[in-house]
Amino acid sequence: MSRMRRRDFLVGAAGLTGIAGMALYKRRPYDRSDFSRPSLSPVVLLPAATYDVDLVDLIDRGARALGISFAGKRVLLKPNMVEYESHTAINTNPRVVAAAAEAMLRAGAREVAVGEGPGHRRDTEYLVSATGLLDYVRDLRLRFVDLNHDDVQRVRLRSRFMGLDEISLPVELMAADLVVSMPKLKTHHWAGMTCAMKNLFGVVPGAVYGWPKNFLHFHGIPNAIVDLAATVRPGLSIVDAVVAMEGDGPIMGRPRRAGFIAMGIDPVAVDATCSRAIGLDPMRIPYIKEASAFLGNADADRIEHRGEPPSRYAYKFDVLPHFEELRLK
Amino acid sequence: MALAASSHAPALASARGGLRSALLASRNTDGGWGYRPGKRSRVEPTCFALLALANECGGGASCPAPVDASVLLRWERHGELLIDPGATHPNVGFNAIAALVAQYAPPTGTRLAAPLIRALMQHRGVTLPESAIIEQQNDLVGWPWVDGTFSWVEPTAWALLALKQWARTHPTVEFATRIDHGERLLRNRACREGGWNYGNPLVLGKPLGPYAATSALALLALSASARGENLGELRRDPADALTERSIKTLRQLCTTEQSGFALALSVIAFRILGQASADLERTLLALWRDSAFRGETVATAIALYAVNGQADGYEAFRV
Repeated sequence: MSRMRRRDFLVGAAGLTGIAGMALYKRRPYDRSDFSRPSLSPVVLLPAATYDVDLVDLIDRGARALGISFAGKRVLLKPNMVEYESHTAINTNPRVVAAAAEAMLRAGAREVAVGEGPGHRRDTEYLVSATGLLDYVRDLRLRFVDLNHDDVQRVRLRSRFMGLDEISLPVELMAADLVVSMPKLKTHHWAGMTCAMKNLFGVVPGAVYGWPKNFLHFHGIPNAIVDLAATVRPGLSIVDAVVAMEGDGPIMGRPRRAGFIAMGIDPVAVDATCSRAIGLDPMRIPYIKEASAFLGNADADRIEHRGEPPSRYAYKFDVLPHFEELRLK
Repeated sequence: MALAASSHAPALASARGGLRSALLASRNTDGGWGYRPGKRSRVEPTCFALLALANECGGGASCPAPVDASVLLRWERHGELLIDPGATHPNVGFNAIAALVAQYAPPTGTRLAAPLIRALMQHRGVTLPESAIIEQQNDLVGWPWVDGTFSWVEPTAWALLALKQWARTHPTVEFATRIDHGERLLRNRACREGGWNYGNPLVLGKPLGPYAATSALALLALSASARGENLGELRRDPADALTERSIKTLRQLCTTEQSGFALALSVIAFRILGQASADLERTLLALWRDSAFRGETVATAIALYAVNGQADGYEAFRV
C-alpha cells in the first residue's frame, strides 16, 4: 500500500466499512448512574513464554490475585476465533481457553461453556474444527455455543454511542453469570488494537446482522466497541498475549511473541495495560479513551498491577502507517 | 452421474434416511426449525428444512405434513420481510432464501413469494465512494444483510437466485435490471484466483482469499449467465474464464474446508455446473456419519437436498 495519512485512511475506511469516529454528543450517550467506575482496577500480568507452561495453574493464580470467585457460577468463555490459517496467530490459542475452563471448573464453577460468533466466517462448524478448539471442548466435555446462531433477545444498550436503543444478543450470553472475554492481543487495521473490548464483536449474532458484522461498522467501530462493552460487561478478561499479532491485524498481521497472559476484572484497564505493553498510547485509541470516561480505568495511576511489573513487557509492535500516531510518546 | 446410480447407493440411502430423520425430529411444534434442536424457529433453518423435505417428496400433494411452508405465512413481519424472534432487524439475505424456497415448498406459492420478491426489489445495499483501500466498484448495488448497509456476496447471491426463479414466469425489465446489477457486483467481488470471500477481494493492498460456501453460492447465482441463458433483454455473458477459475478454486477449497454447509453447497454447485462431484458427496456423507454436523439444522437440510438430487434435480438452484 502506498503511504497513506491517517486522515486519508479514515476517509477511505469510512467508504469501505462505514467507520465513523466517536460521535460528538451534546449530551453524554449514557447515564452515569448506570455505571460505577472503580477507583482502582487491578490487572495481573503472568509470564508465559510458550503455551507449554502450566496454563491452568497460571490462570488459577491470576484469578486468586484478582480475588474472583467462580463457585456456583455459569461461566461463558468468549475466545476470539476469526479465521483459520496455520502458522498464524489470529485466534485465541485453544490451550488457553481449555486451561481457563479447567481452572474455573476446579474452582467450583457450576458450568463452563465456550461461545463465539465469528465475524469473519459464517461457517462455525468448519472454524471450530480447523482451529482445534472443538477437540479441547470435547475433551473437557464443555458445551460450545455458536453465538452467531443462538436464540436471540432484544437488549437495551446501556450506552448509545451507536445511536441505537437496543440490539439483539444471544440468549446464552445474557443467561451467563459470568462472561469472560478471552481475546488474542493484536493490532487491528481499523481499530488500532483489538483486545478485551473489541473481542465482544463476536457476541453480536451474525444470523441477525450478517457476516462480516457490517452493521456495527456502519455505526462506527469505536462506538460499537464501547456500547457492547458497556452492555455485555464481561466480569473477567483473560488475554492471550503469549504469541500476539502485529502489523496488519486482525488476520493478515505477523505473529509476535509477547510472552504473557493478562487478566483483569475491568476490561478498559486490561486493554489500556495491553496497549501500553505493545507501545500504543491507550488515550490515543478512541474507544479506550471514551470508555475510560465512564466504564473503567485507562490512566496508569488508576491501574494496580499485580504479578509481573508492566515494565517487563515493553514492546514496540509494528502498526500500519495510518496508526503511527497511536504510539506512546 | 446421478449419485443414486453409483456403487455407493446403500450408504447413500442410509445417510439420506438419517438426514431426513434428524430433520423431522428437530421440527418445532410451531412447524418451524431452529438452528439446532430445541432452539426457537428461525427463518433460515426453517426455509432450508422445508426445501429439503419438499424435494424428498417431490413437492406435491403427497408430501407429509411437516412439508408445510404455511408456517412462513404466519411468521412475524417487519414490513413485508420476515423477522426472527428477538431480532431487531430482518435479515435481507435470509428473506431472499425464503423467497426462493417459497417458490418450491407447497402450499404457499405466490402468497408468500410475491410479497418477498416485492420487498427484495425494494431493498438494496448502500453505495459508497471509491476507496483506495479496496480496489472495487463501490457504486455497484446488490443486497445487504441488513437494510442500510453495504452489499455482500451471500445475500446478493440468494437474492439473485430468488429473482431469477421468479423472473422465469414473471419476466420484466425491472427484474432483469436488478439481476444484471447483482451479477455485476458478484463478478466485481471475485477473488483473483477465482471464488469469493464475503465481500471485497482486497483490503489495504492485500488479497483476501475465497471461501468454499460463498464461492459455491456465487457460482450458483451466476450459473444462468455462465450457461449463456437469457433473462429479460439484458445481455448475458457466456461461460467465462471467471467461472472456470472459480470451479477450480472451489474444488481446491473443498479439500480443506470440510463442513456440512460448505460441502453440501459445493455438491449442488458442481452438479448444476455439470462437474464431477462423487468424491465430494462421499466426503459429505462421511462427515455426516462422523459428526452429524454437530446438530446444525442448516447443514443437515442442505446436505439432504444435495444428496437427493437426480441428474436433472436441484430445481430451486437451476436458474
